[in-house]
Amino acid sequence: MKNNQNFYDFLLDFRNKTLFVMKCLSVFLVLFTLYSFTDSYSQSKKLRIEIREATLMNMIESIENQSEFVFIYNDEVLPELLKVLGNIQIRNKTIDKVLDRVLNKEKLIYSINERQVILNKKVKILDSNLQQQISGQITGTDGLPLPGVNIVIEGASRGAQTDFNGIYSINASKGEILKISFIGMKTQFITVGDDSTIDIVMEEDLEDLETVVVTGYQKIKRKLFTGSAATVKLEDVKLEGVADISRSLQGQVAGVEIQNVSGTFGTAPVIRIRGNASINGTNKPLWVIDGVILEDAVEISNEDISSGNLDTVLSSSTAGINPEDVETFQVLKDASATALYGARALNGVIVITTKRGKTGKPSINFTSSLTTRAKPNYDQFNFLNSGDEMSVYQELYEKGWIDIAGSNGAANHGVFSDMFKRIVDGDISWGPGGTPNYNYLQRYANANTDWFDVLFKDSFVRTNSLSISSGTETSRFRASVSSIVDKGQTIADDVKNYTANLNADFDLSEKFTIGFKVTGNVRDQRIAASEDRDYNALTGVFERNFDINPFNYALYTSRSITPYDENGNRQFFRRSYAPFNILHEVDHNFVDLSLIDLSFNTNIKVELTENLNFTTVLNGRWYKSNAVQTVHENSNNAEAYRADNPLIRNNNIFLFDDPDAPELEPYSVLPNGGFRKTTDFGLTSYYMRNQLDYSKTFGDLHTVSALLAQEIRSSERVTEKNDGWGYLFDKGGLILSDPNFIRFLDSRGEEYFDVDETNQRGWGMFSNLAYSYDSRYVINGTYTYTGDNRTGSSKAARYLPTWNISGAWNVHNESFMDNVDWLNLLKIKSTYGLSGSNPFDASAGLIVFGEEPLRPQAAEREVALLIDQLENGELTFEKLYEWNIGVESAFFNNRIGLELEYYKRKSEDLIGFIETNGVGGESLKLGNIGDMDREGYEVTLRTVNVKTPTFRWSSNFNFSHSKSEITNWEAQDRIGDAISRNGANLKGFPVGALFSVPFAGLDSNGIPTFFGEDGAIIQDLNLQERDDITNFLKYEGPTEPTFFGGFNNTFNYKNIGLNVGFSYRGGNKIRLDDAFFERYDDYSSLPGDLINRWSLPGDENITNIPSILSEIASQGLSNEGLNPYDLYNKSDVRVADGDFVRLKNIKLSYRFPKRFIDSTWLKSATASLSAHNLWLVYSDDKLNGIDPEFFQSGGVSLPLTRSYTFTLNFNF
Amino acid sequence: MKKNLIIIIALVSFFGCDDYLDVVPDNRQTVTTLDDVSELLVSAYSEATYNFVEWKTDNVTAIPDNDQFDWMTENYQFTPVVSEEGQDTPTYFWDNNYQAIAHANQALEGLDGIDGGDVGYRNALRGEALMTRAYHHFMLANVFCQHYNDANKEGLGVPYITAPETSLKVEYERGTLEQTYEMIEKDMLEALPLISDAYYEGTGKYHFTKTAANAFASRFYLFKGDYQKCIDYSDKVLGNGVINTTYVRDMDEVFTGTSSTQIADQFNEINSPYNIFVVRKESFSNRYYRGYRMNTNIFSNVVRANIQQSADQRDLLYSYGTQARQQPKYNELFEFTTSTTGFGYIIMTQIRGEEVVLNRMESYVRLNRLDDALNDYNVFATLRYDTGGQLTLPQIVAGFGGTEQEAMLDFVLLERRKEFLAEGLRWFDIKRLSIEVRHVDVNGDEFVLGEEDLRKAVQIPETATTNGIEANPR
Repeated sequence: MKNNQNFYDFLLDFRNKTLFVMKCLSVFLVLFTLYSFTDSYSQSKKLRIEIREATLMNMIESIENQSEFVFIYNDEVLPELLKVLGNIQIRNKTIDKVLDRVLNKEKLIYSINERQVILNKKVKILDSNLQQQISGQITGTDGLPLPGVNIVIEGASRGAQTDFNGIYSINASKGEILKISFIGMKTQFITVGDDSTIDIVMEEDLEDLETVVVTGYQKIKRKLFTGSAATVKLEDVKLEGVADISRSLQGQVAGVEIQNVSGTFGTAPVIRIRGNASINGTNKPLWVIDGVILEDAVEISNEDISSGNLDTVLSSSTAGINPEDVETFQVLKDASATALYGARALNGVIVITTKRGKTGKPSINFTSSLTTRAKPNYDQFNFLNSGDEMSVYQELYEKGWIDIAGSNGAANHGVFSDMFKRIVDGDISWGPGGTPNYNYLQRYANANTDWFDVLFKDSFVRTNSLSISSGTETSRFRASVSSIVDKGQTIADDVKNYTANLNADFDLSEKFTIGFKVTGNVRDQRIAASEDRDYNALTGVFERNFDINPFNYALYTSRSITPYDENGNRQFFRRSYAPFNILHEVDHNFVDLSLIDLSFNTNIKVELTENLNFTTVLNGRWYKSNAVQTVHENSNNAEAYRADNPLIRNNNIFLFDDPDAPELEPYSVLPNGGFRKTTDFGLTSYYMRNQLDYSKTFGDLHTVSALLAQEIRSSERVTEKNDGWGYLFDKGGLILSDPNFIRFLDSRGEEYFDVDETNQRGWGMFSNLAYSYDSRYVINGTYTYTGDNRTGSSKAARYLPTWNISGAWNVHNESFMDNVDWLNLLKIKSTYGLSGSNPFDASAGLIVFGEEPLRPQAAEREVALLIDQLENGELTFEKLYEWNIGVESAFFNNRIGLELEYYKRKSEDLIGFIETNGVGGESLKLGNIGDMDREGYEVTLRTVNVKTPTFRWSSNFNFSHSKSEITNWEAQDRIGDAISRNGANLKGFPVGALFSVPFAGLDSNGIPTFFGEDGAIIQDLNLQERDDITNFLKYEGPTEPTFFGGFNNTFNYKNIGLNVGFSYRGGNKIRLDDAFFERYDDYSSLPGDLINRWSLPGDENITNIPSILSEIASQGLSNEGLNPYDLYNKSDVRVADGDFVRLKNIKLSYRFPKRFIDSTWLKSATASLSAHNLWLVYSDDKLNGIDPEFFQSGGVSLPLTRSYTFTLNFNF
Repeated sequence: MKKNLIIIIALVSFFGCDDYLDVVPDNRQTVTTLDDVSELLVSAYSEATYNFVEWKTDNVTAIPDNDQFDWMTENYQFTPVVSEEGQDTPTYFWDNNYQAIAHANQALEGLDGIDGGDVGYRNALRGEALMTRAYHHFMLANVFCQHYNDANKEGLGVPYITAPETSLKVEYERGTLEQTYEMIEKDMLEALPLISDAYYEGTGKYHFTKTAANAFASRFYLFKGDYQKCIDYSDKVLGNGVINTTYVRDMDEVFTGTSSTQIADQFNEINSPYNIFVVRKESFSNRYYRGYRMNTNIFSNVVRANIQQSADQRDLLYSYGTQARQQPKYNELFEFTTSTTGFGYIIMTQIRGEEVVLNRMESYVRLNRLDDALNDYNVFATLRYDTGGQLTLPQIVAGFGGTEQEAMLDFVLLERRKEFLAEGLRWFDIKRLSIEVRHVDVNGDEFVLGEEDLRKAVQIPETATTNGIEANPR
């Protein structure tokens, strides 16, 4: 039976279809369902029938073609259907009117159930004694009895419903049809036979969702959809206790790679759809929520997400979304699916559809969960214990690195240098004969401080969510509130996050619908204080001052340092020239972040004609965050600004060396108080889209749909930083700023406040035309034309036209497939098209910024304009040409679903910095300098492995492979880049190719050696070298995974459900952190392998761990210009495989039995216990247990630790 | 109703969008007023020093106990600097000089697009732009080309840029050195009458004042070998006749103080008339515990044994625990890019009054006006030698030998060398005068730079040669 629907119907119908989810077991709903199902929206659909010499059969076909109605009848009525009725001409009538008019009421009766129209022969009313009582039990596939199911006798007004035990009874005659319906279940029709007991198992109606693809701007019937997209119901993938829904996509969708680089609340995971399409771009997907592009509050590239800077806790677009509000994700992967996003779609699109109100009495859902996290421990890492540390300190002492003079001028102290300070202070004496006081050190040698235990805590995260949905036939509402109260994983963090969501839809008339949505998010978060990291151009490494991130502190602090002294008081060791104790510092130096995010949506839909709809979407969003760092006057951070002891004051860079008073020693410009530093982010964004949809079926076979839309958007962002100097927290906020602090900052080229404003504007026009023949052949084309104010003022630079053409063939609809029972779906589809992006805010025009050149003489100060970018008239958007071919199939009654996709992508005009000859005045320029090829395939296999009435096991396996090759890249990376963690971009290699210096063993002094060009042994390599760098280096592999995926299993047995999810990835290489040096210090943790270090000649034959040099030997290396220790950390022995398999989550859920529910006012209740990040099943030994996903970046980042969640869900 | 709606949509969709996108996306500025042009010109002075050429001269030697760096060694050994591209390297100098030139060109283009305004102001801006363009090309040519003379002028020049670059990759021809000099001279001569001191902030010494422009012209014509013109432009600074001491610092006074930083600050005091033109330079070159430096031996040979038989007031040396010795001429300040790191910078007097004096003195000698030269010297000497340093021609001939003119030339050049130790100018004299340089490195290996040596033109940076700029022959 054909079922051609037109596009318009489809859109309207979608809302009703979303009624599927609720498995509410309530008597209250019965009445509602009785009514709501008999008057659903589709029944108001206006039909138009004009047929000459029509039979009922002709008419049925016509109705089926122009609407979604499906007629159901048996052979008995066939003769009636084939009778010629004459010419039928009916316009603008609803289905019941049409049927009333044409049916011979003497012979036929009809009933309408949603989309199904059932035709029956009219049966003479029999005597009631001929009726018999039919009874039975109705259960779900899980075997649970379903209370409140409606049983209606077709064509009669008799009905019944099941009781709490799922038992029903009804009087019916033989031959009458029972219609059994329940929300979210497939409606069944059963003809009464001789049996008086009829038990029925109802199945969930999943079809609704799976037949629709929401591209954000359009809803397209899956069979007419030609692109590559994956639909994920949040309910299926939701991670209990994980606040950020984007994390739950990990391992769920082929082609989508998610890397949790930090576990700090608010930090986005790195998400890549089909790998990086760009080389330098943000490579982040576009988020679309209910048809509106969600602008990032702060614009951070994928790479910067791992920076650990303060703004990363604002990087997640989805942290403010209550998971309970989300219905589905649609991940749009190929050019056809993302076509309407044109010049912003290069990196794919993720569409979130939120829940809307549903017709019916109020339905209340309450979910509460409690999560606890495990502390990290030293077993996961490889560090020396404090006894072994002490032996290294002894060697450092013997080799001249730690001595009494150096210690007293040093910025930082460990226990050994602290001992020297105490000797100078007269607190303790020298050891016998002027040796170090080993008696004193003994306590520290035995300390073995467990910093993880000191700094992490066992605390709970409480998550609560309450939602209510209700509605009438013409208006629907849904409201929800949620809260997360996280006491913190460490002693330095906590979060309170609240969301509210209210939406309302009104059908003002049959042709006019209006919907509103208000969402709000409020967050209060405490995070470890730290300054943003800065790139030190001299050393080429990122630096961060006053970093007290507990995780980093635990990882990188010597275990011989103790948090408490013998008397149990906090013990201070010098850091940044001032006394430091981490517990004290965390109490006195912290960031409080608060955030308010408010968004209003309005949707208006007008039916202009039967085939033409007009939609307007309006959105306004106001986002403000305010981070206040308290640097208390007693904190180390503040004290460092006044550490002016004569031994250190000439070294302490936080003191002011006054250029106007050269006779003075450096002095403090923070004699009193601490700092109060504020950082504000603000985003105001507006969005409007106007859209015309046209859809019409010509004849019975030709369906045409078209879309013409226009959008306009603006995002204004303001970042404002302000450092308050000399704030006395203990004096009620008294401000005692030293007047010299501005001169101090001025002399250093720094500012005490800073404002950065951006205003991004965009405009776009989209058109789409689709044609389908008989639902078998579909062809689809899109053309968009979008503009962006950031690309410059010339038309060529400002606008990018994108286009796309795609087609699909629904093989299973072919007549030759009619007899193939085992195949339910076979669809072949293909796409070719162009999308784009402007990743760097690169502009084709001249950019000049104002600045103040630093000059020592105040009278000579002037304002300058500095050319930031010369005009580059040829600059254009980055472009992605993509060809995609895919097969969707389902077999054996949908028990097996298999999707295969293959794609080939060509990224062109990729933007990067290119080195120029410098003559134009800009030595590094942004330009379109690269092309990249990428190809990949994706496999998704969904199976129902076991299906019995009480037990069901289904699994979802996905595998993605993706390989890139840079085919053109005019910039030349240096050796220093190629061996660094992010690798280099080189023609002929994948994006971010990691290289190593080939290690050739230790020499007879325990100093590393390497293979140079032509196998020569070297200890020196010029890291600035950029020509033919592959001659010097060994290629390790890509830094980006080449394959990844997930394997998820769901088991259901009666009341019990079990979910087990794995994720995996591999093919990438990881550069290990720098760990081995010529010398060490006594305040940092030391790598465990150091115990195997070279110490005596001959050791080079048995170990690869280089020796600790003496001060003189180190000077010797430096004089010869050798850098073997730098190279060692970048050698092939310091590379690990990125492969891992992780048992991502296990969830055991229990549905409370009916017995229990019956005695309460609940409709249902579920309890579940789940665990995340339970087990890293496999990872490279070289990582020593460090999570291959987590980037060690300090600042505000925290690892994603093992966690356990207990969840209760009530519905009433 | 329906039709109206469609019309409205069509209107909104297809018109007016371009204006909507005209909003600038951030705090970027546009050049629309004369003040904007003036601000652009603040950036038209290169922050890169040419001080690395000092390490190629006979003023320095290997200091084994100094910290050694490859890029310094490369300079010292007369090989191309490839190991470093940051401050104090030829690459940095190349890039920054052209960046300054780009600002000059952008300023000139900006002027063309601005109507009206104060004519005097406009002319002054045009003059400054042309002058700074000439100056930076001149310094590039003198570092990266052979010295300008009849034998070399057909050789390679440097690309002379007169308009902003507007596309990603542009190829440039170096042309001949003669062409480069012609362009410099043309810009300079056009600029000289336009320049005005009336529009500068403060002393204006971070810009080309009239005095600075004339002083530069004095250097230009000396290097070009046009000695009469050198005298003419020197006269515009110093006045006709014997110099007065306005443009000569009192070294006894300047080189006295409690610390090297205080002395260096006195040396570069911006309000002093003898400091004619200053630029802020991003540089670590003042860190004399690094690389190749003067030692006591060199200093003694150059400064201490003198025919004046007097203590030289420039005889003030500081050390930093190694054999390196340095006069306190620069004070390294620090610009913090992070709160712990950043870039050292020095305020460097680019043209000093003494240079103009010595330029004129040399030109007099070249034109055989030996008395004029000697008269200037004897004024200058009172501020350099404890005894006053007064000399007569016979005394100089006795001291230096050769003809009177030869002796005077050697004498003036030695004064020049003494005066500008560690300031980089010695290298240009080595080129001008075809002097041989012998260097012995820390390992005892000797490197000789011949009198006529292709390596006297510093090799074009790798970044430029790999991007289409013709390398110097070797």
